[in-house]
Amino acid sequence: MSLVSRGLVATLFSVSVFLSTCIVRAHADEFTNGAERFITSLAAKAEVSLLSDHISPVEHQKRFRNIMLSSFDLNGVGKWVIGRYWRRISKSERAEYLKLFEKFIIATYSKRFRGYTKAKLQINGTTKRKNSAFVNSQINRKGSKPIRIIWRVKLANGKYKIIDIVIEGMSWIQTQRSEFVSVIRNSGGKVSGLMDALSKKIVFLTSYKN
Amino acid sequence: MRGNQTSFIKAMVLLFIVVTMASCSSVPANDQEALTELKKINDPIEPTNRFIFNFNQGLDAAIIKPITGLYRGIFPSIIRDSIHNFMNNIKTPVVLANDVLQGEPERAGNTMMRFIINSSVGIAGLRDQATNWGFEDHDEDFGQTLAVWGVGEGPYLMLPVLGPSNPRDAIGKLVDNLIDPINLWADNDDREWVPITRTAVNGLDTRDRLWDILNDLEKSSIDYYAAIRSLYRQRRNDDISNGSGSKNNKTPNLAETTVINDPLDEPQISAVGP
Repeated sequence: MSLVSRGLVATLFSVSVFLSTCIVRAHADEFTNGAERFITSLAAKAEVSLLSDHISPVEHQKRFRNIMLSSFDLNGVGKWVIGRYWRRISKSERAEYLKLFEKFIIATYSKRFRGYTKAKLQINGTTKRKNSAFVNSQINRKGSKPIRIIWRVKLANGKYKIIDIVIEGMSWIQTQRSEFVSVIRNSGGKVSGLMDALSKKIVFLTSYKN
Repeated sequence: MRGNQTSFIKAMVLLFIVVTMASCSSVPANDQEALTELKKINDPIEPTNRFIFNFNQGLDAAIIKPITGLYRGIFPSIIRDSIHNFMNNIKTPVVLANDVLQGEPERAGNTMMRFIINSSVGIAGLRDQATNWGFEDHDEDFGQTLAVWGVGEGPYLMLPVLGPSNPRDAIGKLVDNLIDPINLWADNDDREWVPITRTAVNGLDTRDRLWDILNDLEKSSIDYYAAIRSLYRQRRNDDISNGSGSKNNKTPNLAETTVINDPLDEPQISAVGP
């Protein structure tokens, strides 16, 4: 009995906490509103063009690539994920690396996206820090906890671009960076070691069948 | 069981000393950037950890994955979910204890309601009715409690069989096992099969839940070890901050991940260096 009543007290407490967080609403500005609209329309676009059953794998890959290139700042991310080693490589190496990075990302995620079923993305508001907008969202699943996804978006030359996706607290670019830096370190600090590894991975990813 | 645990503590303490001593040796003192990088990686016994990781990978490929595959083949997801719910429910007292130790009355109340609902309406925990009624599941363990109390994670550790960890989380796991009521009861009555079965089923359930994620990750990563190391830390930090205290609508806790090294800036860690 005491267990139940203590549970009830705690429940009432949690309800009041919940209400107070609802009252304090972050005020939005033009930048965060724009970022939120950008993510909403991207989700809609992806649903229409990628999750239809009638497209061939080749067509799917093409569409996926277009969406990736137009909505992600792949060059910025590619640069960031090799950290301090970016300054150590020549101009031509940089161009070659960025090309490989783009191929690697497309090869990795286009296949992963094929198995996905329709899921509604619920937007929960956007916050701003420095030059980034963080669009908070979640994907609801029946019978289990929703998955929290944060889209980190920047605005450059009047266009919104995604620079990170944080799923359940795990940042995409952060993970990619630890991997890339680890490969570079294990090849004696040479970025060429990473580029070799990327080339091999791209061949592997494009060759295996799902 | 008790004897095993004492020797485990001894081994952990020894390991900790070795790790701390090893970390003192191989630091390039003249390169500020390399030093910062090394500190961030925080994996002083990386060669040993990688060796254990490879061993774990072998064990997974030879035994754990095939058994999990069989488990997935024999039981439909409805049954596997029930087993997961059951295992989750019997661990609730430990979660509750850690909620309380962290001074989280709201979450403690939630945990209590979950236990009451799922143990009764949820048929001994097989169904997670509490989630449907708005009492969502959350995880707490003593490693997280230590973190909330201000204990640092320490260097990265790859444990045999158990996988990624660090001294704080390893000790946390041990304490959770010591305070678990079912383990205590089994220990008193010499029912050694209880904790053993439980550990085995938990392992099976965890591997089952990670099936797709690990498949994808292993295929696409160019350094699987480094990816797991990074993901483990990020996930733990997210767990510790309880996803920044709220389910949604709040600023995520990105201070430790992306904000310090802003991708919008040039990739320069410091002005010093080549």
